[in-house]
Amino acid sequence: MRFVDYLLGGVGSGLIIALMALALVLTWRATRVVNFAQVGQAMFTTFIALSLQTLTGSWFIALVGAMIAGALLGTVVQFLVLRPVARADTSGAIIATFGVLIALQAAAGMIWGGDSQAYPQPFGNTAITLFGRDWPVSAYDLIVVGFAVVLVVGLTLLFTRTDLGLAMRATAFNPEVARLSGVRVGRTLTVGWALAGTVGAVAGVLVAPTSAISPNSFDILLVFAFTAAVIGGLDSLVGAVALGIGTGLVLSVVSGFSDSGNAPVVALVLLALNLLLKPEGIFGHHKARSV
Amino acid sequence: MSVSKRLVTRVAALTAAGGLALATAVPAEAADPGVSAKEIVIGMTTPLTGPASPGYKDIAPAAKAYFDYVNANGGINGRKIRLVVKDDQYNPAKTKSATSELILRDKIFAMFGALGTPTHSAVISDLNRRGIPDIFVNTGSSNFDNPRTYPMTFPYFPSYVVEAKAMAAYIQGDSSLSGKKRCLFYQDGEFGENAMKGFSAVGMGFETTVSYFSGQQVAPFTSQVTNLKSSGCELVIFFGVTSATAQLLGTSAKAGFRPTWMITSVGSDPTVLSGSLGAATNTLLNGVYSPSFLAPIQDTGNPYVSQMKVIATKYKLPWNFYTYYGINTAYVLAQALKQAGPNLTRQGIVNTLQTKASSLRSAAVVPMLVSSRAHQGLTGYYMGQYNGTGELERLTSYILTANSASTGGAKQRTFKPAAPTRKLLP
Amino acid sequence: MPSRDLTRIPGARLVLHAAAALVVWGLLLWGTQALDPLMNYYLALVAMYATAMFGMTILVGLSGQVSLGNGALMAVGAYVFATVTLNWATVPFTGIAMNGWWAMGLAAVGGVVVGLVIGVLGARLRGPYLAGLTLGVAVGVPAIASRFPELLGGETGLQLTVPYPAGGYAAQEAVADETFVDELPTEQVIEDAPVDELPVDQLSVDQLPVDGAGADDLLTLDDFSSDDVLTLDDFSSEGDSGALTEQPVDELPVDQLTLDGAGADDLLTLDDFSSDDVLTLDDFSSEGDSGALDDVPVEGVPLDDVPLDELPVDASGALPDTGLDGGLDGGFLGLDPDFVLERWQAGLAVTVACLVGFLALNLVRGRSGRQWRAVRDDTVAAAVSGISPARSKVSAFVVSCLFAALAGAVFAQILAYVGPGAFGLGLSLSLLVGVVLGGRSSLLGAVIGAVLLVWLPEFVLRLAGDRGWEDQITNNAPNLIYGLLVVLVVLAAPGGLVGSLQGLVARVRRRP
Repeated sequence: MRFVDYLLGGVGSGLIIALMALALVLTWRATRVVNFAQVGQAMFTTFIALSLQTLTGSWFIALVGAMIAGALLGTVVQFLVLRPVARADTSGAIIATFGVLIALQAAAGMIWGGDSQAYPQPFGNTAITLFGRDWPVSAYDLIVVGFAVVLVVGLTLLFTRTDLGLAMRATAFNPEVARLSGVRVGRTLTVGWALAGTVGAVAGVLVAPTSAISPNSFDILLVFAFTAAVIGGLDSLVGAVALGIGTGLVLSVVSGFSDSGNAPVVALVLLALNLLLKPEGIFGHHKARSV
Repeated sequence: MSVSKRLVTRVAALTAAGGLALATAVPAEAADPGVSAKEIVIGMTTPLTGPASPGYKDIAPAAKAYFDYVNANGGINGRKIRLVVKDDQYNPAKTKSATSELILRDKIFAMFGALGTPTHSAVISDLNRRGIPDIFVNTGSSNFDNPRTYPMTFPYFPSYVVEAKAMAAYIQGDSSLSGKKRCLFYQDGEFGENAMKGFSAVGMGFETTVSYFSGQQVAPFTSQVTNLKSSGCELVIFFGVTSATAQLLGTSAKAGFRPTWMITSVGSDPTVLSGSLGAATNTLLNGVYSPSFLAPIQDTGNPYVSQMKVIATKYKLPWNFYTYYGINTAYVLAQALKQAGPNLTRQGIVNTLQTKASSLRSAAVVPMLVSSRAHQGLTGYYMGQYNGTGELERLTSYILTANSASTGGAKQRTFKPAAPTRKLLP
Repeated sequence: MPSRDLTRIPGARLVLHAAAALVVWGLLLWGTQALDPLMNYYLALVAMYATAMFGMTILVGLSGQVSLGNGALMAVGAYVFATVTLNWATVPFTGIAMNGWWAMGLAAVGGVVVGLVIGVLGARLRGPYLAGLTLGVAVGVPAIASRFPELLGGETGLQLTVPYPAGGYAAQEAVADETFVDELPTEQVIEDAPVDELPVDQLSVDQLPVDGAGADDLLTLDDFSSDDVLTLDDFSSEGDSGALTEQPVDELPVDQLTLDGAGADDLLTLDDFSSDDVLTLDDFSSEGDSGALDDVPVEGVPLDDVPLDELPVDASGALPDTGLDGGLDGGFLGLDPDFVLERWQAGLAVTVACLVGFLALNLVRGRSGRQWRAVRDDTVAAAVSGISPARSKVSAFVVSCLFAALAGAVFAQILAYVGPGAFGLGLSLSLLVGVVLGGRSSLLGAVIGAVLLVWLPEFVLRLAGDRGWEDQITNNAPNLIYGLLVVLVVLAAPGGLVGSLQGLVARVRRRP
């Protein structure tokens, strides 16, 4: 029974990891760059959402505001930072995303201060009682589940059923061929980053009520989300979500049966094992090894 | 290191300790660094930014405000106090650099209120080696009360070991708590070690003990709360920082887990908690036990509280526990500096603290114990309980005092602190 | 250039590099005499960072692998150094007494072993995978350190004794607590209250009207005059405003404010703050302290005012000999004790940096360097010409880990402490920042990057302090500048500072 409780308790945080992993996968698919600034962007937009929430009192307006801000921020970062990096300079692209992360965290510290700030709980956050016992799942967790399902279904439809999605897939596959086929590659890449920024913003707003928000509060999320995205294959939306939830469950069970201090270590071991045994990831087709 | 060398170190340490007692009445010919005819320079390292800064960042401005107030009223023995504060972000490497700058560039006379166990561990040997007074370290780690190794270091608030002993004594004496199924939840490291030491000294056991890792952020204690809940815990004692308390109370409420809580004094400030928990803070805190050593902050009938609140108000500081604590320790330091006399030296302030600490006034309601043999600082706690409006009410008219040794429990005693000095000036 | 010809002679390049390293080493060591202790401390930090960043140059610049794990590898070196010096009296298998150099050697071995493990796992991975794996290492390794409180000191970390050259590195032995709670008083009695503090002081706190009818009469915010109320916006929002207006100070009977004859002016009120003496920082700047020293000579204080037991123990103001440094070598080279430590730190860090720099120079300019560059620029072409890309990448990894571990061992001695908090993700990120700003593929760039890492935050904080910026702005400013600079450099000057300077020199030369 305790095991079941651990599993259920891990679903909420697993979904947050899944959404952040999803954002990483989106930028990867668009530009073959893992955006290490993703958690910084999400943190920044969550602060914006908090300001909106305080101003308007509406959780929903704040969420929409964060999504718009996320899309804008993603676009700006891609347009101003990633696009001008020489295409051959893959190290440069990675380093630049870390530069953005450092700058965003410092900027947030300047604007909103270093304190942890409470993010209001929009819906009930008490345990659901069923069959005569409390379950470690709240109405809020169900909302998070709902958001994750809608996002994944929506994105899958976008990629498979729309021209834009087709263009994005083609660009990710081979930008030169895509350009020759008439795809406006630059715009497509930017759209990919805007989408990723939006998804990251949603993840940020959803996680904030359970962990409060500060400039560094999502740092560890980056490690877990990256682990999930890589094991999922970096290319696969479904993989990111499945492995995100999986990572959340594993961390919850590990923390429950041993000690939460082991969680980052376990994540590292999982990542290492995956890279050693199946570097292209469980759901991936892309080559992770170059030689 | 060879045995003989170790012996040499020992002998040298003992000689040094003995040397402290051999005071000779010879005036200092050259003043120590940091003291001029007009000024006393004091250094402080503390997290002003970064994840560990919430709450703690209010201490330095509060101390500064108090010193500004003293300076505006003539200073101390004609000298003004200049407090140089360095942000170390709770990173021991930065603490080291900041402390080196304080010593070598700012030429501080003494360190005051350096915050954190890992951070201060990185500089304590250096401060002592250089003979720089290291006054009122802001941590409950029991390791710093060790005058033989650290003759210059003076903790202020009682250690977590003392706190655990005080909690144990209170639980054993309260029939509504003593019969409950007890569980312990602690932060890895200093908190956990000290708490365990305190409880095991009095033979108090637990149904289950659960811990968390201080770097943990993303999984909000769900597993730990599940553990506590399924173990049937009725009284959960928590040793951790305030941000963790917020997570714990929030997660437990979500899980429908409502035990009786007893939370360490450094982890329960409602103003900081409300930063994370928002409007639910007072409801969640209602009925939570927490020991404290300062007069309750809302007790404005207490002259210390009311007067310190005046200073906080005048200097536009947020009136919370950390502001209160910052002004309070600055007040104690200012008295010690004044009593060390116009011919201020480092050894002079150390001697003053070792001989007169018990007569230094403060908002603390427990006696202070400092001698050449023990640098314990404050010696105990009273037990408090939060009411529905986020105020800690004093439950016990007595106090529970103990030391940090691995044996012996807390004892009940009474203590009447003296009234403040005129206008809260040293 | 004649040197180019000389290097064709076998072994000549080695000699040349050795000579260069020796000259730099000698110059720097000689220079430590001229520097004040703080500058020596900064020099030690710069040399330590440079040591680690030589490895970053090889890994990131030459081999093209972005790693965030080098801060964690410094942790490995530092922890090996600390545990070895604290727990082993002799070097295993040899019976030689342990000293700092042996411990650093073992730290280097530790770095190589861990580097091999991560290198084999990660060096064959494409950029983002490797960056992510090493990100995990940067977060995971300090977490491992905090898992073993017995051996590694847990979250609190391990203290080393201040590392004097002649001293040992033994842990300080805990002395049993000697506290005397049974002797505690039940009432705080002030025996020697100065005359002007009477008589409020003689009361204990609960003799004051705390809960009696007079409770409201002690000084509170109610005593503000109405003019003051307007300035206290913070307080009125907390609900005290009602009380403020209800009970102006004038309406309070003065005698209710007194306590056993104490005048009303014994209690602090806001009226005690005259408007011009509140912001006292101005007082400091206006008075200065340099010239004022002569105004009130210390000797002018009448001695009989000073109670006997307040007098200093040590008339000379010299440091008490606590025996902490083991070697009791406060007079090392006959220098001021304050001076010795920083100079010794600088000497140690500079020595290791020159040694590592010499190694790096040989590797970079030798066959390994050519192979690393070849694999970075075109893996397939390199493989065709007989270079094993995997081996080349792993070797770059191992070399950088070796350097990082050595830097970590030096860091441990500069700090006299190791702990997880000192080796977090921030350290790894700053190594990356430094090497990018200085110039990714140049050893000189690593040195410049190390200087920037130490100097820039100092510079920004001082600048901000002079301008009187808010703390929240000031304290975040260095990181904001780092972040923006990194982006700018990657975009506009991928070669970093060194690359830009080289470009400039080349352009100037091309002109007639």
